[in-house]
Amino acid sequence: MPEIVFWHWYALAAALVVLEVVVPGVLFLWLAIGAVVAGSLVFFIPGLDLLYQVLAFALASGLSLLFGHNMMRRLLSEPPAQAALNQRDQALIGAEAVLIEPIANGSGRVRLGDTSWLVAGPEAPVGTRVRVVAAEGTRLKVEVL
Amino acid sequence: MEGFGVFVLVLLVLVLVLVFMGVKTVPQGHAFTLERFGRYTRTLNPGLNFIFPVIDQIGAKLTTQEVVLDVPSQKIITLDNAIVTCDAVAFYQVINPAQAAYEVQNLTAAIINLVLTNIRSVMGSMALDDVLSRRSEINDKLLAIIDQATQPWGVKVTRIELKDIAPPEDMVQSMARQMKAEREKRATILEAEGVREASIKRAEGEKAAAILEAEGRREAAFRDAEARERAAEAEARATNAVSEAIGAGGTGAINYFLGLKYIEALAGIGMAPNSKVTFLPLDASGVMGAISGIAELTKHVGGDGAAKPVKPWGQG
Repeated sequence: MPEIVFWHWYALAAALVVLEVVVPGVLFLWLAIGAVVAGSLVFFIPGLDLLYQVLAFALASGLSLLFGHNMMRRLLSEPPAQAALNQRDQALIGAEAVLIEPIANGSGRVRLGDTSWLVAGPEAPVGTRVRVVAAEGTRLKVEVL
Repeated sequence: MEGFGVFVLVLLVLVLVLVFMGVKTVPQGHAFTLERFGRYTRTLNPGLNFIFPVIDQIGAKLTTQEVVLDVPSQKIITLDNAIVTCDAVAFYQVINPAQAAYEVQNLTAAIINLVLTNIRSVMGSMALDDVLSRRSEINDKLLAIIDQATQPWGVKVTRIELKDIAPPEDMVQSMARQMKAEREKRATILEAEGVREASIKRAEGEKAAAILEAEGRREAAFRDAEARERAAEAEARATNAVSEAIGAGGTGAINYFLGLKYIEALAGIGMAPNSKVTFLPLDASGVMGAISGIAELTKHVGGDGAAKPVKPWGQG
């Protein structure tokens, strides 16, 4: 069995990054970071026992996953270009519409686009102009203009 | 060393499992529900998500795109007892993935059955003619009912469209016959109206022509009468003039005149082209009388040799 030197770990890290690019999802990045850490350890402490190298790799991978989680959170916290994609209710906030059913007992109906939506809001007769202020799932909260 | 080796191997496997199971990438247009110990905790939105593989698991994978549901065709009895076959299409979108995943067991089956039953109830309360002609109204009614019903499931039904409403074959044939009969009726009525208009027009024309002709005749009669009047007037004037002349100049002139005419008339009778026999219905005495009248004239002219000038007419 040839001795494992730090280049081997670096090669593994590079291979894992390539895999990361090819395979969808952020999976191999953490293992690559672990491999880099293990390789650096071997670089500073040559002739380290293989088991310890693997231990270092495993631990570093796990830790990178834990910390990367928080880092990724911050990266992902920036809003996407189209915030309301696949979230039709959010896209409707601020829209103005006319009641086609009166708001009675807190619930009525408006026409928006070419469909009608359930709305919740203050009592109002048919034909009142309202503005959508919030979306609670399939029911929109409105205020009378 | 042996135990340590096993531990390291197991640790490596654990890390690999953590990495491969704990990182969840949700594609855009989808939403995953996360269950911690089997209980729903949160919804994973599109993008990178981390879960704890040991305690967390993915519950339901839902699409947040608009979905087209084909509603199977069914037979419906309308208000006037016609049986029509009708199919529809429904569009819905999951707005609240958690409700869609846990509030209802089989979302698509539930929606399809709702649409089926409500189509039946809405169309069952209408007559066939209304069903065929007021589709958009039916669509609106269905949408309102079904949207309200699916609201607890976190689903927004955006559109329901009746695709095809097919009455039974014999009904279609009788409809076609009815339409044809109506068109024929219209055609017949139009033809009759045309004939009526034409005969009215023709009669009017004839009437106008008759009136014009009568007017022409009347006008002509008036003119004839006028002409006769004028002729009589002229005759009267001529007679007047003659009698005045006679009154003024004695009977000699008229006698001469009459004699002249008499002889001229005799000449005319004699010169008639085809007559071999001249028939003279004349009493000789008349002729003699006329001649004697002429003799009288000559007496006046030649008695003493000097002729007494005859006074011209008109000088009493």
